[in-house]
Amino acid sequence: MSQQTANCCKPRQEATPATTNAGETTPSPKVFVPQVDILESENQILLLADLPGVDQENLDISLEKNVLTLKGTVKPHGPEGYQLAYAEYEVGNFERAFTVSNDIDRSGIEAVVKDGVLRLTLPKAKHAVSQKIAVKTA
Amino acid sequence: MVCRTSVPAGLWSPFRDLVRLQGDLGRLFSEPLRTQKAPDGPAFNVWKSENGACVTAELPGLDLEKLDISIVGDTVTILGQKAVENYSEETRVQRRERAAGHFTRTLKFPFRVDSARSEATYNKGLLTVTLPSLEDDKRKQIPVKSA
Repeated sequence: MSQQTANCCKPRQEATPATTNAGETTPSPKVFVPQVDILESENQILLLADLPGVDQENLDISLEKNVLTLKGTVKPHGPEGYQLAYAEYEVGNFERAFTVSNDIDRSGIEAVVKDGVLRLTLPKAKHAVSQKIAVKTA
Repeated sequence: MVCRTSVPAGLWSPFRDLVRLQGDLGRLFSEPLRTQKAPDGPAFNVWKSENGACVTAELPGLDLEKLDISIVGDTVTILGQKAVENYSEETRVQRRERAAGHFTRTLKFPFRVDSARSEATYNKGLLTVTLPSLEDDKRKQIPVKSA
């Protein structure tokens, strides 16, 4: 659950060439790597990701084989009737992928988004939770 | 990611600069796509219009009870804290990249802000503060009369 796949940080490329299809191609939005915290406890792994501008409707979480991918789409936002005078951040989509170990109970994964923060709970599978073995005296 | 090793303050330590350098380099390479990021703190964008200005900031997980926005004349100060995640001692922190803790930002505008009409909203981790200008400080067109 800690490895990040290398190809997730690249800005998204337009998949179809401009010559196909009618109409003009829209410039692809920038893609940012969200910052995450990963907290592992005995029974679960908690992943917190900062996704400002993302709510549950435009967040896509998928688990394919053992790669967990987060994709957040952000609609261009900004106050109406104003012009940007000074910028420290840019608006773009979020994308990041993680390699998940087999010890995760896939059916029990839960995701909640609140105030632009994703809380992803990945419960550990029963067999993976460490068990204490009592030592008997002979 | 950034590995923070604490060195006790007050004591002279030749390692402190090295630790800081390590942190700076870590940050440099860990945020290749974020451009023009303000050093150590949330990023703000400033918008302008005929009637004043608007400030937006990406502040996911903001603790709204600890948010304090004050306006004095032409200066606006935004003080806040991000909600802190509590966890037990047995928890292993595998990654900690998200900014945490307090921040302060002071912005000065070329007009006096009308504090009575100023508004702030928080939605999906985005803070928007609308700062209208006082009527007296608005742009005025002076008609030119021919003699």
